[in-house]
Amino acid sequence: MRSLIIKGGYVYDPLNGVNGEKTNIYVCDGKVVEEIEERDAKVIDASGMVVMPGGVDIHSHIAGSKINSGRMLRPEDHRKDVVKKTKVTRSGVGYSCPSTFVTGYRYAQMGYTSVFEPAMPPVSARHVHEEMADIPILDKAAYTLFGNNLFTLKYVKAGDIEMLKAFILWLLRTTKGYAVKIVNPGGVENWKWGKNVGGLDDLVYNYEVTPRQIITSLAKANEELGLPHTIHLHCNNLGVPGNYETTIETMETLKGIKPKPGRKTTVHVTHCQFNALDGDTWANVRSGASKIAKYVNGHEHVSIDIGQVIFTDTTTMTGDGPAQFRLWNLTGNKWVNKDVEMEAGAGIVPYTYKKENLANSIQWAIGLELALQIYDPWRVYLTTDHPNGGPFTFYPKVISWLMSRASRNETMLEINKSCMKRTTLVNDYREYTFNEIAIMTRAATAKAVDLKNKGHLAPGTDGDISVYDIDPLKWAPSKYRELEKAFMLAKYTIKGGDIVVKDGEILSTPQGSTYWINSAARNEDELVKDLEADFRDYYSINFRNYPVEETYLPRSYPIKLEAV
Amino acid sequence: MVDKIDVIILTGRTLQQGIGLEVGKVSEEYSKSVNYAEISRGDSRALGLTNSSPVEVTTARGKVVLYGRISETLSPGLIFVPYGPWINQVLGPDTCCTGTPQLKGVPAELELAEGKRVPTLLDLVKVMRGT
Amino acid sequence: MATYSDVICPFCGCLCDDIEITVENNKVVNTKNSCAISRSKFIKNDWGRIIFPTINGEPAPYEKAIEEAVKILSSARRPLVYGLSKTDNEAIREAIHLTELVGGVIDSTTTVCHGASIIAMQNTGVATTTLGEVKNRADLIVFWGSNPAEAHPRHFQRYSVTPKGKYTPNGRSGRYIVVVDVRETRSSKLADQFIRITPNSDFDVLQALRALVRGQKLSVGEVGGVQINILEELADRMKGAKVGCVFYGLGLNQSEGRHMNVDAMYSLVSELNHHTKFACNPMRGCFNVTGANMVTTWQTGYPFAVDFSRGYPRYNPGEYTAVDLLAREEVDAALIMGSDPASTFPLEAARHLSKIPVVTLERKETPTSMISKVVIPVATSGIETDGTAYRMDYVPLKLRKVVDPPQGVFSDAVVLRDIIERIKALEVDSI
Repeated sequence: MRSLIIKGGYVYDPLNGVNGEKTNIYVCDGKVVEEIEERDAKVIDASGMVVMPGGVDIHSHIAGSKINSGRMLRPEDHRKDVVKKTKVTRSGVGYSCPSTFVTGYRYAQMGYTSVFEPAMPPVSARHVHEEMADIPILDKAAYTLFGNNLFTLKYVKAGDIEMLKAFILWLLRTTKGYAVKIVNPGGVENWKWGKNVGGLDDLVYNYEVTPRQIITSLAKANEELGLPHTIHLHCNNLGVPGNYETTIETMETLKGIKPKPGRKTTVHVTHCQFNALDGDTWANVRSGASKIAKYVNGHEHVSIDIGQVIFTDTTTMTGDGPAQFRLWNLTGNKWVNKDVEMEAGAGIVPYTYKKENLANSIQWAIGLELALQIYDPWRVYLTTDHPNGGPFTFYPKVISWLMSRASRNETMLEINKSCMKRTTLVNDYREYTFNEIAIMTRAATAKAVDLKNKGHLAPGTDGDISVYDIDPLKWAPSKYRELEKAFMLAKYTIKGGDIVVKDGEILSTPQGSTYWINSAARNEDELVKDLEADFRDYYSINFRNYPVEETYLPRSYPIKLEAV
Repeated sequence: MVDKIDVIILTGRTLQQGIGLEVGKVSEEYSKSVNYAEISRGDSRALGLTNSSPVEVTTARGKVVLYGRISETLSPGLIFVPYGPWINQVLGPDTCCTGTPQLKGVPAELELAEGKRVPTLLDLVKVMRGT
Repeated sequence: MATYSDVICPFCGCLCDDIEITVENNKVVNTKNSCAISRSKFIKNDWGRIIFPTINGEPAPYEKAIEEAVKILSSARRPLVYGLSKTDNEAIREAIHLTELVGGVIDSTTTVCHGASIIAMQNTGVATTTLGEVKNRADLIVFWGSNPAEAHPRHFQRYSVTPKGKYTPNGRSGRYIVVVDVRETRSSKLADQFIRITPNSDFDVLQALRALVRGQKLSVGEVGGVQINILEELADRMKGAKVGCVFYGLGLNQSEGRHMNVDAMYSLVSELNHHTKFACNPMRGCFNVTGANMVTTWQTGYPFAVDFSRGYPRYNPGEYTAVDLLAREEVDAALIMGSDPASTFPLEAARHLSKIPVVTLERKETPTSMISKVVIPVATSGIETDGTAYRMDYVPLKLRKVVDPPQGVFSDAVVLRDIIERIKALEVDSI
């Protein structure tokens, strides 16, 4: 019986209304429990420290062909950040495209215990799971790409919501995926002919459906199925000045979808910063964040994650092939494009966000504006869309910007000053509290994907806990450097009741679990007949060899949906 | 008729070489599939080569005896030898810092090798060992 | 007798997954849908197998062979682990772990094949696609420095020339096939157009094409032995394609110019994306060399030629690549698996291998096994063991076991794990 007591810390457990209360957390056999005897347990003295549930990152490119192509593309990035092996840990490389072992270690060192890969192309799903098996410590899930899949387009065109639902369940089960991911719907399919879509009502070649139809059909199916997460949407026109209009139009179009019982949201707009641009061109680009924030504040059906920009050299990578083609033309940097088997695509371009660059400065401001101007911390989450906005190891920096106006000032003094006239950040005095940070980095994100045993510390939850060496009673926003340091290396990270990190050092590397949806629709036989026929004609592998075997998940955690 | 011709060595895979290596490197099929050089009709005539007679290929690195095969399609000045330990006798390890040695487009001299024997696989292993 | 269908062939980068295997008395007696090379691999699977380990050519028990391997690798100052391409990801993971433990260098056959492609990609990027996309959309296919008819025999019928796809209902007649090579081949014979170039002139020809695609006029009459009007026509044809794809092979990588040839190709294809949809695909030879790159990249950050002597991964082609290491005599021990470098490397490199203690994991006798101190027999990946392999376009597939390995013969992964366990027990500090 492994028992642990985290004693006397200031606990932030927002889901259960605990806001900085000095209290103990008890863990037994990997789960949080009511109370245990001190003499039976290992005791961690957390007095004067912040205690939170382990971090839950809802969107980070950590596993699969895209990030791996990024790794392969950037030996020069790796050389900046080499990681020596130790008795307990494997060696590797970090920075913007960290190797798998290092990804697990670094997240755990920051107190994160669950991370989700947001873009899994079905035909290479096996690759995602192979990499995940090599990411230690963290619990994981992957979102399967649906928005440009030939079967999605076929059923959307036919208006056949029942087949679409059956397909969603079948594909999630087959790829061992967790949620429905949509990237530039319609645009990625058009990109296979070298084209794109420019708005919600443009047509997808050969299918004559629109992005609007794709998004609403998938959202409707998603909610009717009662999937744990809403659709996870990378909007059309990413990176195009003026695109905030498309974003708001997209959110508006989903207003009418009936959410599954128990939630109000019907869409999660991911890395919203890239889709919050006002203006017409990169010359007159401005922040559209306030307009988006206003909309989100007034409409409960939307959640977003910010996709914060960090001023550093990083690697952009997305399933939005045409967007990356645009970025390549803009920068002339090396460019990788990969179109995937009637399903998806990817584009990778190294990029440096520079302080003196006006557009980059505006982008930096936008991410923060979104977080500061959206009042409900349960609907706006902290991400950098790693590594697109910057490496995840900069999360503590983002926390410091959110919690300290002084920290923002320091950076604002360094960036292109003209940015002040094009954004409203200089007028944002709000400072996030520890409680709000706990919400947007663990409580809300776990809730958004409906993982009931994550993101909070009620008895029965997984014993995933982080302890940060910072005293909330003694801290003030002027001490933002201290804050950053505290969140950079957790005093303790506990995973499933085991102390995996102490004083920022990795003590053990248990295997994490992979969550996936394991359900089938009643009409699945009919669906499969349809799929098999098209597979024979259009795919380059046989139907039988397509599904990912459960043995690829060393700790498989299937979730069956109710009432399916 | 000439004694020696300047040629460019091309190497590559062949169907027979693939079949042979999957039987096994010590098989008859394998040796037969890689121990020859395809020579153009024009160069064969110039040398006085008859099909299957031994020829010797020499580069700055070394020399090797192979069976000569007359090709109807190869251009004069080119020879084609399937990948394998035979042709590797004469190819150098210089990779120009890329990791890959030059295995194609390598200049060499070609001449008849009357009386000389095409080495067996075991002969080549002996050469590797330096015995 | 048993029949298995949808079996994946473990020969080349095509990873054809529609093979039918008939097994009788634990032997493959028939195959359907397989090319001649695939058939040879399956049917001759049990030909000439090594069935017991040897030390210095003498039969030895498995335990002793493992012990000897451990001794060789753990006492070496600069061990090389090489090969990886003809085995599965499960084994490759162990090989990387082993190399990290002993502080050696790990490299795969990539190093003499498509290493140049990877170096070019690292400089320039690449526009590429999976094979199903080619089947469904491409109306212009160019084979450059590649002879699939002999090296990837079913590529034409499964992916690139004849198949009828979603937007290519006319199959062969809806496609224009161009072959560019230094000689006529079985592949060039079925092309609509064969362009012969002078050996070592790929870079010049590709750069000329780039200029023409950009609308520049060239003042020379020919480049690389090709008349300018032929190149102008090709440039126009490429720009005018609905969807084009270049499949290229070692004609680019192993000629003078190496990665610069590939760089020129990648740049040309990227350039073409300003006019139409174009992609480029390397014709990977061994059935899991792509998997070797993938696993090595995700675990270490680097795709091949990775050095662990400082306790963290380092990458530098020319410095940590196998042929260079051997030619400079920098290596004092080696573990070879999934390859036969004594056959495939230039003599000078192969020679050094015969001077140092080598542990080889092999199925059948090869020049490498003949010069090795320790030989440990292993099961055939993809026939006698399950495992994961990546096709040339990075699509991952699960290979299936259809027969049992010979008695007492284990998979590469198992053998490596046994070596790793014992090395860990020694608590060797590799730094």
